[in-house]
Amino acid sequence: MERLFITFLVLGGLALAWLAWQGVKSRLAASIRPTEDADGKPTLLYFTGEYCTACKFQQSPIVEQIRAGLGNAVAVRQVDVSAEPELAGRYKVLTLPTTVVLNPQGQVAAINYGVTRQDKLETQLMAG
Amino acid sequence: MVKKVDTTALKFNQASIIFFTLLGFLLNQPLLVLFVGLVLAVGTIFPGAALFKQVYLSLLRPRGILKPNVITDDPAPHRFAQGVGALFLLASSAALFLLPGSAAGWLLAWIVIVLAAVNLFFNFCAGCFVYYQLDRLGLITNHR
Repeated sequence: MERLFITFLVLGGLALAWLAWQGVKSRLAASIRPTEDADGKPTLLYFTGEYCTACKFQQSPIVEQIRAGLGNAVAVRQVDVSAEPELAGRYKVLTLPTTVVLNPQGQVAAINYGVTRQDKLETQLMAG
Repeated sequence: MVKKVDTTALKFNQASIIFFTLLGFLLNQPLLVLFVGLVLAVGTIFPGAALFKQVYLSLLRPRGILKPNVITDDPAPHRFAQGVGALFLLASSAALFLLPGSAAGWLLAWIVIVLAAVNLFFNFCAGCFVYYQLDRLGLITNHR
């Protein structure tokens, strides 16, 4: 009985941690000042790195499909964190891959840590 | 050479790790923890002999219970993560056999359960996160 209680406690703690993390991500996104060179369309910033195999094999094909599917309706920019560490810091990149969706006004609409599905990214881009 | 990974096999592996390790905790059976640790260790050294993967390939996939999802990927990081999981679970079972019921022993097992669950449900790679943070601190330079 005690072990079952501990299990539920840990699972409950994880659920609370997940909820808290969603709140932290929202506050992180809100704290980033809008970019000054917004061009009036949603933008996908895709942070990657040379050593990131998940980027190369999983996220990059997804980003390419978005680029092909949405065409000029969105802007897609791939950022190498080693080459542009300041930009990675500005957009609160914590792991790779990270994708940041900017709305047409250049404000952060969503930050995704880890490999993110195509449908989720497209929904975030089109919501802007 | 293009490498392929069946992500369904990976997720079944993670689910099995979580299930048996958690069952071991609930029933206070370090043998189950040792069992999972050995399965992972064998699977890391001899990928073809991975028990959970074989259950998926021989029973679940042919019967259509689980459908494959093969993507282009590098199996090496997944094997590395499996090896780390094996180390943690073998250390956990050693601690539990030497000091029955020890909190440290079960803590090691719980770390594996939590990280496997985070990967299974949120596709979050803890190894990737650690690697990136170390790189930011300038502690990893061999990729440049």
